[in-house]
Amino acid sequence: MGRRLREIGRGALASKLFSLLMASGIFISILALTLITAISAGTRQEIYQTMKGFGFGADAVLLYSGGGRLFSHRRSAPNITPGDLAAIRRLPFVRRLSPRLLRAETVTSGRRQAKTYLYGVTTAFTAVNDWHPASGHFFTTCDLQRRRKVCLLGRTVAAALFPGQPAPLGETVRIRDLFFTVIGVMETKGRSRRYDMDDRVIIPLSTAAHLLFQEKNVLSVKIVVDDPEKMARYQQELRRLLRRRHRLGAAIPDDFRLITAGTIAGIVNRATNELGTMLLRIMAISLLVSGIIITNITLAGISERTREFGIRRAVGASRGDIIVQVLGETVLVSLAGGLAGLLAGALLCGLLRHYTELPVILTWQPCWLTLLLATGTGLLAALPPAVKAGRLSPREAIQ
Amino acid sequence: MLKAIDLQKTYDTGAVKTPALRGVSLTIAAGDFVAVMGPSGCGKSTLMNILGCLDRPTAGRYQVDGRETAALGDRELSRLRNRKFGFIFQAFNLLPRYTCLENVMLPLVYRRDQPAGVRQRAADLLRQVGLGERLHARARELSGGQQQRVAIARALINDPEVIFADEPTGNLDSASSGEIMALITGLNRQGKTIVMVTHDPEVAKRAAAIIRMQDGRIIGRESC
Ligand SMILES: Nc1ncnc2c1ncn2[C@@H]1O[C@H](COP(=O)(O)OP(=O)(O)OP(=O)(O)O)[C@@H](O)[C@H]1O
Ligand SMILES: [Mg+2]
Repeated sequence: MGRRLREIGRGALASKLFSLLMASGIFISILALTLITAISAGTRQEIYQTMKGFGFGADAVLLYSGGGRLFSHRRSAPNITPGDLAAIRRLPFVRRLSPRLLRAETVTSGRRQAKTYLYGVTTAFTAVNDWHPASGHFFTTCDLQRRRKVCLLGRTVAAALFPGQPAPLGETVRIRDLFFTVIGVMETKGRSRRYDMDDRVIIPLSTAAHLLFQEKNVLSVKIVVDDPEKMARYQQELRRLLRRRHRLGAAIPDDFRLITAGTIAGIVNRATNELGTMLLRIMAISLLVSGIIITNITLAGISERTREFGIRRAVGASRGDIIVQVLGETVLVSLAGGLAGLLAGALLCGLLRHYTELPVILTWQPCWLTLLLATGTGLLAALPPAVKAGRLSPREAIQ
Repeated sequence: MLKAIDLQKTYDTGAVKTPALRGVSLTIAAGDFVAVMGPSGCGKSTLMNILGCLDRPTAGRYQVDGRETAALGDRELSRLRNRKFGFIFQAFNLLPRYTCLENVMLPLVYRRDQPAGVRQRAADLLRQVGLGERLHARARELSGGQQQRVAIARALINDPEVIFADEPTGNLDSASSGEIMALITGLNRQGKTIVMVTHDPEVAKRAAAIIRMQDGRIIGRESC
């Protein structure tokens, strides 16, 4: 067994140029495979992390002002009215809802300032998002009713305005020309690549609406329903309600968006599936090309090695031994190419992660695929030449 | 030990059919030293290849130790070539990139069991044929006579009973020829059965019997 493996190894190394040529096709395919799987895994994880950051459970649906694409980057004017909110609240399946008004603002404290996002929310915010103050306390219904100028800071803002002060409770910050008392600092939520959950200031919705923005509508509402199983139906009902309330005629598209974890997951899955199919095509084509190259090079090699095989047959190699030798050599070369591609891919992933913003995650998946694909391609490609070599009669081969 | 009955062989190269053996019968007993002689193209190599199980006859029977070779599969024939037979060719047929030692050990690759001390045995054989100093020289770096001596050592590594030699001195000068023939004669004295094709009457004289062929037939067998 050991001797045979050695013979296979020697055979694979005998003609280094041809082996290199054979391995390079596999190398390129596997390199591509590794990169694409790493990037798709990274993208997927990023999207899921962002979703998780939003506190997006299966029982939540996000109602957003403005129609169009789900994740439109166009900021639309808030068009969800207090009447809409009341009507939604009256729906039997709605358990909780957390309306939100949001704008980018500059917040200052003394000479420090932070460009951040100002969120006007209600007291439902903590329960709906499962996000609580780490220090201090959230504002109360009373604060909300009286439009008090109190605020809670996200960790990032707190660190920017009050460095070295973990809990700057009782301090004052200025937003536009109003002074707010800091009553709490929110728990750290972390960040995805594009989005820092802790870069925000939270104030009572009423204060934001009347004292700062002069806006009676809200930008978005997070609605928690009683049964996530019935989400699709609830979504339909919400849509019908809102279309009626916004007096949208049959031909007019929605002027709001309803986003659920399901729709996000659907988009992610569709995107990754598309990527997967594309990947599969690239792989199939490049492997096919490598296979053809390997077959032809090996076939040419067999003709040159007729005498060698004849000698081996004469000293006792069977047909099977010769076939195994040819297959083994090719599989070895293919595997070497594949493993080199894997290594290069991993290296490149490391570099990409270091020097670019591309989300890349190395998984074990390409390792198994590499073993499988490289071996499979090598075997299949070497089959015709192997059979040809096996057919040589020892008498013919030695003449 | 080897018994051929009415062997026929016709080479079929598409349009032309060349009859190379037209009914050859012979028996070779253990310990025989037989030289096969005859004009070029009379079928000597063809006969050797069939006797050595490198090829199959078109018709006729060939028995090794009483077993019909026609009934043997590729694996069994390969095993015969590996263990019972050793080959020495006119063109040496070594693997040129392999060292002497590696060439001698090549038959071991195709042997399931690996007897202990095979490397030592290979080196000893090379020493016996006078190449003790060139164990690690590549085959292609050797002279013809040296290559043929490596081939002899290779033929002996699995301790076969029969050595087939097809014009073993055909490519050698007379000095080398003498050395090679001395080795082969010595092997026969040690009990190996030897079947050798040759054109050279001087070489044939070393054999115990001469089989004369012509036109695909045996025309005579004489003892020396
Ligand atoms: N592979 C082959 N295909 C077709 N014809 C062949 C083949 N091998 C040998 N022959 C023919 O068969 C006949 C016998 O050939 P063989 O090689 O046995 O002769 P030989 O006695 O060994 O000759 P030489 O002394 O020249 O080696 C010849 O006519 C030869 O041309
Ligand atoms: Mg001949």
